[in-house]
Amino acid sequence: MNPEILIHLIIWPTFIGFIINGLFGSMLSKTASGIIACAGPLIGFLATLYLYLTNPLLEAINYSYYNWFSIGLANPVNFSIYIDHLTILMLFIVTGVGTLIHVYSIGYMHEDKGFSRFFAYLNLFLFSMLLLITGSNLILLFAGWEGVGLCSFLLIGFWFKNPEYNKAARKAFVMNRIGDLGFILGIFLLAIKFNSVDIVKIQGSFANLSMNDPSIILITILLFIGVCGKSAQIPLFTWLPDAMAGPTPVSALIHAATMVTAGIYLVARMNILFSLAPFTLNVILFVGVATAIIAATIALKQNDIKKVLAYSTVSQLGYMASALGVAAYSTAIFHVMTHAFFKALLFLSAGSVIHGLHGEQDIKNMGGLKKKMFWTHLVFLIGTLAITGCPPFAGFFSKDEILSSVYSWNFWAFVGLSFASICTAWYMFRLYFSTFHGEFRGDKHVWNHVHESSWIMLFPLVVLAILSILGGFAGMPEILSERHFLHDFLKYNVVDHTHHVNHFFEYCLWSVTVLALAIIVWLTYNRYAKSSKEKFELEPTGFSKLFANKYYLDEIFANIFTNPLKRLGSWFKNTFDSKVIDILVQLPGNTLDKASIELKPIQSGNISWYIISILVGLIFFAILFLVKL
Amino acid sequence: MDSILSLILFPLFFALLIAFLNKKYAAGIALTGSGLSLFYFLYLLSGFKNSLKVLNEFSIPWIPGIEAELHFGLDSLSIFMLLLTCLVFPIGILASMKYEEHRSKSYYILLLIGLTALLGFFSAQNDITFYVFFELALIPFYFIILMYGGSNRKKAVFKFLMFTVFGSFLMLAAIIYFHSLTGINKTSDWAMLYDMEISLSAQTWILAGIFIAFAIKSPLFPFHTWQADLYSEGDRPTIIIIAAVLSKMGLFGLLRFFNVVDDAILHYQMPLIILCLIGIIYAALVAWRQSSMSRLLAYSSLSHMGMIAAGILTASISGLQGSIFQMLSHGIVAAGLFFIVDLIMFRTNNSSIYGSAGIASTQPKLATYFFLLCLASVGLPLTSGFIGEFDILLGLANTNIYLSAIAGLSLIFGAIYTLRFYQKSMFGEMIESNNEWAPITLNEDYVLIILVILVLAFGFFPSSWLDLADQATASFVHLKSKI
Repeated sequence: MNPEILIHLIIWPTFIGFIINGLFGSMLSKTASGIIACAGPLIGFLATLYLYLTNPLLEAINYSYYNWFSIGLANPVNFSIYIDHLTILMLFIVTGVGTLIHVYSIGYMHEDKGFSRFFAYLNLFLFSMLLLITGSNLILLFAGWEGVGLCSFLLIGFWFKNPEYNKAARKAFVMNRIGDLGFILGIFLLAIKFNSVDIVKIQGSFANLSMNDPSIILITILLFIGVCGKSAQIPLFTWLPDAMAGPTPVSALIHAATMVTAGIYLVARMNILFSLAPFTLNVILFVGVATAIIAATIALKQNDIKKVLAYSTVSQLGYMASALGVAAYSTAIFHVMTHAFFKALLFLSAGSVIHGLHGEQDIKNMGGLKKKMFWTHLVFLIGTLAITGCPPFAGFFSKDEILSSVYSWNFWAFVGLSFASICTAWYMFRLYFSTFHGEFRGDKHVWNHVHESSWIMLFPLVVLAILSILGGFAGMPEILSERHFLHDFLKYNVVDHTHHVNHFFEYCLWSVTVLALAIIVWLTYNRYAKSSKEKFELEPTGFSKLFANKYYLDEIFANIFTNPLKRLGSWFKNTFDSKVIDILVQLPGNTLDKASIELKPIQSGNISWYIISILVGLIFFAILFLVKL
Repeated sequence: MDSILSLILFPLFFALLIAFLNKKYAAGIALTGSGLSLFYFLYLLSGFKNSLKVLNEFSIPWIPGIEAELHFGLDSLSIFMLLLTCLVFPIGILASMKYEEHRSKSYYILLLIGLTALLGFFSAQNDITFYVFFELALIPFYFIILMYGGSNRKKAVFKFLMFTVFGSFLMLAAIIYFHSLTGINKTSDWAMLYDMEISLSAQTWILAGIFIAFAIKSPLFPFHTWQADLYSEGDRPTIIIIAAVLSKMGLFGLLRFFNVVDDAILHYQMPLIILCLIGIIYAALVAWRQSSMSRLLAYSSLSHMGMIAAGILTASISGLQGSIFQMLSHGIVAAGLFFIVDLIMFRTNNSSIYGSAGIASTQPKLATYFFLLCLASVGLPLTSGFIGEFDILLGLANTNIYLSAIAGLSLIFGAIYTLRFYQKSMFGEMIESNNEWAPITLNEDYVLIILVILVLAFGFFPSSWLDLADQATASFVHLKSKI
């Protein structure tokens, strides 16, 4: 098969699935609609696999569908697809994890009335995501970028009767749009400076640019604002925890595994540009570390199982951004991959718990679930070990690589990330023990109906669990293996600028990791495995209160931006528009009107008054005439 | 036969038919007439060659004393607005048919006269013709709103009339001044007018006159205070046409006169663009706090018009190209949104955005069409709304990146008020009284499908239309840069 056909097969099946489920979903049976929806990503995955196996990809594939539009630049903006190693890797992640989550959703959403609508949105999301990672120019990439934001909006507000969910959906879209504005301004400056929006062409024209050129700093900062929106970095991350209002498979697919990593992908894609701006890289490092710490501390005090995982995602995205900030782009992509495995696994197994408990999400009403949900418990444990960086699970390798890259660049950033790691281990084991160990704290009636999920939900979990165990071996550190498979794979497209760290440091890091994990497991077990319901209901104080209330960030944003603007809008609407502008623009007319009313009494009809006026006038002009003479 | 005159006179012929036939045929004939106008225009369009020349021309001497001519023709700029006009009129008439018992023959006659006036206005090839039809278009719409609409319509339409007439006089003064300067009376076509050399100070006066006239007509901030009243009180089917087509007359005029006053535009570019930017943000903030559907859309429209005007004033290729394209796109989207507002209010008799809450669960089709139009309104890529806004913002960025950043705030505020509007009116728990909703009729379905298809088609395949817009801007001589 030639590559063109494979490209069609990668991109379009999800779009066709969207059209079928979107237009004719109500006529299809649930099975049919589920199969059609799953076929999209599955075909994409198989086509990617085939493309990878048959095509050495020594040169990137560039396939143009048609001329989308032209904007007075040297090259028209084409609807064209670009595939290189970085794209292939992202395609594997998106279609692979996407397929698994689609399959899982068949089980999870089975009872829902909007079954086919759900799958239509899910397929549209994947289509947009595929456009995002395969678009050959920044505008097509931006189209995918906005498209995934749209689907995120649709899926967060999937149960649209609930006003809270609608609000969360709107918040997600608007905060993403704030980032998008930065992104699009960055595109404009690139287009004006390089007279092109083609990713490859732009990056080819950097040769004669100096480091930290002010225009490059501005462009990269603007692009990074876009990254902050999509990849939930400070200060634009508050939408992601709220996005948990959507069905759990959505949280796994969009708000953990794929969409939120789009920002990381963007920076890796534009790595040559970012490497030219060390100033921006430092900003990214700082923001990344701060995000990792703040989100991890908030996660310590959350009681909603999905909220913990959501803040954990934000925190992990902070890790990825930190890796970008030290120009270890392929390391960031490595963590994108392992994170996709274990975070999708954690979310889906949390979904399995929620499903088994008929919608319960609060961990204070859980506990002891190990007895009734063996498989869910097992895969959740694997996910926990992977995310906390326990060797040899997937998270260990990627996290270790990030930590050592950051260490070689900036010691304090390393300290910050290590602290976040400790928090990660703490909140994950807290979550694990309080959910699956001890006694059930919820209602007796609920306990009797707790059930393990069906095989269609468990199968994807098992696959993801295997990936979470083995995924890390794609990138073994040099002391274990001579070949770092992932770096070798990406080296044609992504140029890292990392320093090597000495082996002694690596060994220390590992030992400390294992030791710290052991201690944390022991502490959290004692503290949470036998915890009572009352303990979860204790009012937090001090720092805990700060964490539990998310540093009051929502309140701060509301008071700084939203509420003043709302008040301003209301004032414009109620007062300014009608009382100021309307009066002002009507001033000439009203003045004339008033003047005529004022002057009206002069025309009184009184003859003697007229005659006096005439005489006065005559005398006036006579004097004027005489003076002039 | 292929002369533009036949297109312009076409609706008048049907207006005559209505006058002589029974009332019960009036709506049908009006629909046929406007529909056939659309097809006739598409026929003319198929023969249109992408060139700088004016095609299908028609001209006759008119007032010998000042050597004035009536002169019409198709060119690459007028095509956009003629298409929009021909497209929107049948939609407005279809929307009015559900109120058929309450509409007299004169309603449809006036609408068709309005169609003729607008076709004449957009195809006018010199300033005298342009002015006459600019005025002419006002009359039928004034009378329609005077006769039909909400209880406060008389006040609203009087305000509209006074504002517009005031602007028209300024424009007339500017045109007369222009002719007195150049010393020639003969006005044959735009190209000839563009060739006149006039000093910057004279251009400034002319710009002041026409800019205020056009800013009132569009409207642009701060001359907009007639708009929300008219949109919420006027006859809703007619408002569809006013919001989609009449709101473009001012911007179209600015494009037509661009070359006459180009030095002045470049000289006063910054303050004028800043005025537009204030309008964009101001209108978006007001739209955010509206709870009446028509008023919300009125301010949304105001915000978009500010964006288009800013694009024109950049005097850059992409700014102008984007503005021309966006005029068409916004027309289609506004027609769709006002059409939906009308069909909702016909059923709920409630102008509030909360009046139809929850209706998405029983009317999924309507909710989908509505949503797609909202997406185009917020400029999502691969809808028609994106291309124009992208081009305009690029043009602004090329002038000054900060201008682009401020105008770009409308991406954020636009999303806020549009999504709020959509969610409040479609989502949430169903209001009890809305359980009895009549499903959308076949006519409504067709109209919305066509509009949605157009929105997507222009979003996916804008290329040939952008080339046409490019052609239109190619005649603009004083462009600063190539982007």
